[in-house]
Amino acid sequence: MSKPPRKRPFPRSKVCRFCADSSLRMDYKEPNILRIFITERGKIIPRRISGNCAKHQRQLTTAIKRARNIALLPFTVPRR
Amino acid sequence: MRRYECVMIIDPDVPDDEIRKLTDKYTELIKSRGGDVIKIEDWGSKRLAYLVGKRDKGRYFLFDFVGLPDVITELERQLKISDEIMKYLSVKLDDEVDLEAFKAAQEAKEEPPAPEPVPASEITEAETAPAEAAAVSEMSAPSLPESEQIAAPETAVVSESAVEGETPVVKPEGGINE
Repeated sequence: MSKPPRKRPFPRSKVCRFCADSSLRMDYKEPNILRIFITERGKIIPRRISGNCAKHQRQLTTAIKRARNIALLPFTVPRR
Repeated sequence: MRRYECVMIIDPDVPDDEIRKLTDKYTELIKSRGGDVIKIEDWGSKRLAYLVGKRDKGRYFLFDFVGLPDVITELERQLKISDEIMKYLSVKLDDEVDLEAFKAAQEAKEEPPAPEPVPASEITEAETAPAEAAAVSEMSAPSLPESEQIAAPETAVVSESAVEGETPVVKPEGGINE
């Protein structure tokens, strides 16, 4: 019996960074912190990869969306 | 009364005295409707993450104020009409704010660190920080004192973990120009 090929593990953190570190605060006015949680193309990194807890991920999405609205973060980063 | 925050992006070509006039105008507007301005922050000219009206730079202003909901409707109406305002975003911070109690609390808070208590009604212009990073750290410092108290020694850890994060930092400038 052959096992299905193992999927390549992707880098993921196990703990929510906002829970672990209370000084890291998310605010739509601080794009540099939010930038950790978006991809190169400007997409929000899913919870399963970033390891955020549900509560903080929810807050993060609103923060990122607000930041996008006032042009602090990009909606998309076009491919060259 | 509710507490609101409004970020507006002003055309960077507008001269400083015009900007002064604009901020005065909006302060007047808020006050004329029974609200009060807590602070106005000038973040200076910043690069935008995407083009807004074919411009890639904008001057950011943050209004922090207290008022009834009709202040927001009127303010947003005015912002929409104004040619100098490229974009704006208003956020409700708090639902129930008692203006008098709030002012008292603010003054009490301000008293120990700052020798001269600044009246909340007065426009407190933040120094124009040319460097983006400086502006960010500056505004983050006063607004969340309690979290800093708890985890002040961990600040170094934050920046470290930020660096080793799995996603490289996105540079919006590169993609947009090309």
